[in-house]
Amino acid sequence: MTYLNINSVKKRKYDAIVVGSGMSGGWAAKEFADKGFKTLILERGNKAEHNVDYPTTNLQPWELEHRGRMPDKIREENPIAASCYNFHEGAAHFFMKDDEQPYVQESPFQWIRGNQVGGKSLLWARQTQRWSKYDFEGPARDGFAVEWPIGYDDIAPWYDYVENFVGISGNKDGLDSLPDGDFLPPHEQNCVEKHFSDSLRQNFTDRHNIIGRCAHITEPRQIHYDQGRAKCQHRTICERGCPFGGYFAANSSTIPWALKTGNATLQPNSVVHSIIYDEKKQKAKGVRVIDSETMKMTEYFADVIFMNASALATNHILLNSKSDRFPEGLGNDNGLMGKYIAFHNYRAVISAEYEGFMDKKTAGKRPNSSYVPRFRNVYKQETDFLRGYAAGFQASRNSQNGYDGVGVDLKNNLEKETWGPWRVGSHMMGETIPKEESYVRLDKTLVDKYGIPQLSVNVNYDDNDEKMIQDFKEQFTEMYEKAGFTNIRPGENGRVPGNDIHEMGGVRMGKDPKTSLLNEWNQLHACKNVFVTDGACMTSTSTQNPSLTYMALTARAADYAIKEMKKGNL
Amino acid sequence: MNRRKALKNVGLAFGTALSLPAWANAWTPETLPKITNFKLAEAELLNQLVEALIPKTDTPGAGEMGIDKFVMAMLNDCTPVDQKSIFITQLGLVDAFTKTKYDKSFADLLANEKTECLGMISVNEAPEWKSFFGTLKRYTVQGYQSSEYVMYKNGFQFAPGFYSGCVDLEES
Repeated sequence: MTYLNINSVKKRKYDAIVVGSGMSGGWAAKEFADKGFKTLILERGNKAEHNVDYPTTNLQPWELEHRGRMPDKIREENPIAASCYNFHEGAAHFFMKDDEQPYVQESPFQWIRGNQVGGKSLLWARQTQRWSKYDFEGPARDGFAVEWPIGYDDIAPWYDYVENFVGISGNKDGLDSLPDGDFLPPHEQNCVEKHFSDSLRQNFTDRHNIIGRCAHITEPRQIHYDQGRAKCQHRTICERGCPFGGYFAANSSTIPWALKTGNATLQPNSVVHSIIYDEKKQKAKGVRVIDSETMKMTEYFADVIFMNASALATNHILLNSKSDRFPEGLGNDNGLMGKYIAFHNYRAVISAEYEGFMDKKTAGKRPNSSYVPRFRNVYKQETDFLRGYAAGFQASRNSQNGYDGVGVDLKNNLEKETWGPWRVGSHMMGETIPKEESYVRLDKTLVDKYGIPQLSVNVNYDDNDEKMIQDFKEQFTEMYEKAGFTNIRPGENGRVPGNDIHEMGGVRMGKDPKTSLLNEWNQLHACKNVFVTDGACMTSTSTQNPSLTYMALTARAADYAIKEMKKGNL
Repeated sequence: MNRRKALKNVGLAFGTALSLPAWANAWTPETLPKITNFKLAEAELLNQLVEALIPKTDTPGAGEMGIDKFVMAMLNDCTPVDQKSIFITQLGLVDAFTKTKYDKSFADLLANEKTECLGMISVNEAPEWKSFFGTLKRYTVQGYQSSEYVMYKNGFQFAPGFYSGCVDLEES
């Protein structure tokens, strides 16, 4: 018996365990496996093999039973998942169902989650803008949260590193507020978007409308062919999974790359319950995993653990990792774990029309839009609110068909196309301020079906967000007016926190163990062989879509961990 | 360029023969899921109504394209219960209406009579008939406009492989 047990433990011993197989977990797995380390990738959701498990990817619009709309019954049973724009017939199967892991909403919060290998990297909007030095310097300059322990120069080489592998399309715009990267050819702005770019350049010194930088292969490099990926074909149904690997998803890129080395083991249906702390060695020694199909708990062991479960899930697991040494959660000596959660404020929008270029339209499809980088408070404080917002911007022109009559009249009317004016739209992506009262914590009584305490979430908009919304509406109204747009309609969409799917923080990086949980290498100050490199590590949010930064931080931290392991320090 | 180039790129990436995906196969009404919770007579009448609303000319009509199956799927799964209930009730009154007016069931009307009959229903101000006709027309038009036949006729490209931000309106 003893012998068998030892043998079984040996089988469950790895060099590294990566919790989560999505945007950042895929990167941790790839880096460890590439360097010859035996790596276990734990994914709580389903198996989702590239192409094999994309059931809707090649369905034509008319092959979707309800032309995309999810049946009311499923929407009613899953109000949280259904609040996401991508919850439609083509992609709903990639969302976690609401009853899979219930949580407590102390205030309204829509926690949108993937539930398969690759996580939300299948579903994301694929916008990949770098942070600038001004973004990292924000908290220290403006006196909120804590100072970031790293700056742009620390992460810049890692942006280069992941951008080359991922494949980022973009234009070198030369803006110091949004540094250029290692870009594949950019997508094209359409005539009205170019007109808006020109207008901003003429009327403002600090405002720009550029083509978005996005994770689409517009011109493959060898490194992309090596992954089995090919050029994006502009289908713009990315969230179903792309058979070409035309956009970056862990499923088509980092995960198969890690598996191909022979060093990585991918284990879906594995709900991580907690991290096991070895009181004698004073470090983590493994994780407890519940098989979601058998409900059986098994322990797995490793020298190093990377937490990439998604921002709130990583908080959840760490808070639930209690030991004599850490009664309030692993590494939580200062009681700050789960606090200082922030997100992106996506509540304001503004639409309008443009009556120029009436003899023009667009052709083909574009999996991208234009982007207005943050221009408020970049170099110094200049408004009555802190920080600022970036904005997506898009112009399009569509025809309308007639609808009158019945019978042959109706049929003929349906063939009549009328071309209206160009329509433009923009949505705000605001930085929010991490605050102690924005937190997640374990509920004291409620548990989920695995017996894990439910996460309780309390995150709200504040005055700073309200002022920023007003400013967005005013500034964009002025920018639209100067561009000659008409019928300008600023508005709000009622989105609640979480619906932006950019929740961050709770296990923030910082210089001081008294006021932060992670050091400059994403290591828990108090438990050095546990690294957190998903959204939970973020000290502040800035305005950029965060995935690119998570990937760069992960590659950087993995590189450090590997060096420390080789030195025998971990 | 686009389908050929797309396929070529996939060939490069995977290095294997490519079996054509589902979107290369012809769509037929038989491949659609079967809707079971309508009575056969209701389903047949709905098919007649959908065909009369967008009839066969030198191009296929909505009924022969099977758009009634889509209308039923939407009524079953994506329509508030009370709205669906009104629809079913009014559907059951259509033949009574045509028997009074033409002494025939809807299915037996001549093509011009069907059009005339739908025209009368479309201007009936009673809330139940307004709801019935609005639902019928909205789903029929949505299904027809997003059918394989109409979408390809209108230049639909599943994988265009390009985007041009400024082309002449006449170009397609």
